[in-house]
Amino acid sequence: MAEDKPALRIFEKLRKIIDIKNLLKFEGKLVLFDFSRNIENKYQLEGDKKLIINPSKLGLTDDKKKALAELFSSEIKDGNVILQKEYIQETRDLKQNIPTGEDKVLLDFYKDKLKPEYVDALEICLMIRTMSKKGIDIDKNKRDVIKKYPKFGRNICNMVSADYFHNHFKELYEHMKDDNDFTVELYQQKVERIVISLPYTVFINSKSTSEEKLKEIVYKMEKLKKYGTGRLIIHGLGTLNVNKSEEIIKYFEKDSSVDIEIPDKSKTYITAILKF
Amino acid sequence: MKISCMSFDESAKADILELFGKKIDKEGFIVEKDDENQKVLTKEGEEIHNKEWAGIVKSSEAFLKSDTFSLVKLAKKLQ
Repeated sequence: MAEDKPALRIFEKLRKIIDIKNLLKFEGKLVLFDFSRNIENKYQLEGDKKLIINPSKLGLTDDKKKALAELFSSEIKDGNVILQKEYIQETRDLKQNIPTGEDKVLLDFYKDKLKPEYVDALEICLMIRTMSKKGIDIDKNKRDVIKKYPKFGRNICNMVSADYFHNHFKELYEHMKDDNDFTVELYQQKVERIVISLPYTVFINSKSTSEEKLKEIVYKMEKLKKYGTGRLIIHGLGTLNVNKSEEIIKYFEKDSSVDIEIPDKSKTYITAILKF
Repeated sequence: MKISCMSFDESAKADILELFGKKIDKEGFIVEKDDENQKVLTKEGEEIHNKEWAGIVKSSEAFLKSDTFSLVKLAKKLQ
């Protein structure tokens, strides 16, 4: 097996540093060498493939310490990466889920349309979505996105898993690009505003009826009121959804406790803010 | 680039750092063994806390952080 060769080389070098003569029968079988203080002795076998070495019990002379340091350095110089074992599987999972196919096309679509930090977060969120579908634990990865981008990381993750980048924002671009005053910056600003205001936003889509959306809006308004937020944004894309949005807005026009502001409106897209 | 057959766990971090002439300072940051004031930096110029250190890659012993963004950069370089 090709992967046995570097392991053999490491075994050979380790033999000269640590007294592991009694393990000679495992030569060729051992493929992993893990350094850990969590074993009682100098070394311990795990199955017949992994050797665990306790560096604190080796009692190496300065020369042997130097030889061990050289072994580590040569691994790196040979183009290998030495990882804490907890991150080996995570790195492999990430590698296997780097966006390809439809997700790669999607990422390329946004590369020249969104700010680099949004594209950066989008890439990781697409990977998180794929890994999550495969049942891989993604909690740490999601936390990392939120930590790096506290303003919008969580919302991008949620919006990617709800397909907003696959549908809504692509459609938004198609609708906006035909406007006379269109610029990429305007599109960026609009996407950013929507992402940041996600908890205060309702998207009008073709899947739900006006009545269903109205119920959702009323429910969300009640909840927002509880948390002291008197603002809800309605977004509609496409002629039918704009019409549907207008129907819903009309309902609130009768309600004196709700102020309506419509900062963006064309035949194909609408943004309305309900203040209550 | 490949993942080495050699790895280490949380308990052996200080031992591995020592092999590379580094240690962990009082605040938990990785520093040069001979000069505690000299914090080890990632390729991006970030200081590395012991808790967020994942490993070492080529290019003058570059120290790697364990956050998803750093691991994805590494993953893209792996064969």
